[in-house]
Amino acid sequence: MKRKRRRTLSDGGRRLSSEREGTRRGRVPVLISACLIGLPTRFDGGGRLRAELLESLAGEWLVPVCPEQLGGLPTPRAAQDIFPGGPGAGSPAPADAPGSAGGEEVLDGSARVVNRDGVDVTEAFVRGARSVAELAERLGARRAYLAARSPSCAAASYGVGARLSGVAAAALARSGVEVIDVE
Amino acid sequence: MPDFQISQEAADDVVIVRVRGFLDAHTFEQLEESISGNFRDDRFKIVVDLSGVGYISSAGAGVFIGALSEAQENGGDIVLLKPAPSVLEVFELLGLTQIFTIEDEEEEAKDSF
Repeated sequence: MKRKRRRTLSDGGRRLSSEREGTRRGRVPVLISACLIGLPTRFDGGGRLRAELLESLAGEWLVPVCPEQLGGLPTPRAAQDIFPGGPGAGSPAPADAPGSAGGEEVLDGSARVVNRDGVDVTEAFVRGARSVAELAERLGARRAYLAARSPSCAAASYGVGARLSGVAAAALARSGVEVIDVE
Repeated sequence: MPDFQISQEAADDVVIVRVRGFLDAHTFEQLEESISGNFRDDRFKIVVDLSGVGYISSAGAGVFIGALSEAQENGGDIVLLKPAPSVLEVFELLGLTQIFTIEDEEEEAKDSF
């Protein structure tokens, strides 16, 4: 895949400071759910700051991502869950337990994401997941710390039995990125 | 909130898409459709003039990430022109300054393909 490097901007005021540029030079970026660094990206407009995690990652080049926002969903937004059945299957049937399918099935087209208002948001979830995976590949990221239990970000902590992955976590795992669940 | 506007002009085989306003979850689909329309017309060398964008959200940034591969796989690219400092900050945060060509001068942007 063709990979371009950023060109130096002619306007010195826009140039990255040498200090910030220096923190990135030669380092491999690590993806992290934006909510975990305290950004208000959760569905309810809140954050999920994990100060101890950030301390343990001091010195790493962290790239904060919110797959749901990258996919085009606004914040705040209605809470969402994954249900069996492909996109366009309509409202979940009463027998469909939220979280009875996971991100793998969404990526394969056999499950969908529906919010609490009954709106199918599968397309946004898949678009966001692909964007995060694309970003990881382009940046060379091999590790991602993602928010547990999220229909986007969970790594084996979502849904029934808390053992399924979210859509973005599944996409990253398929790309060979190590996904670490953060409670 | 400033009105969101998109216009475009062709210069040889390069298309310049000019964006004005806030590029966020409420407006990103307009830009996505503009870029997709160019792809459908076999135009893959796209300069996106961001000088009129005062705010960009992740939804807006996602448009560029989503379009980059298709542009490059077809011999083109997505080049970003004159982002405001606040917009550039978002690109930096997301690592996009490592991925995209970003230019300050239109001529340089057009010549960068």
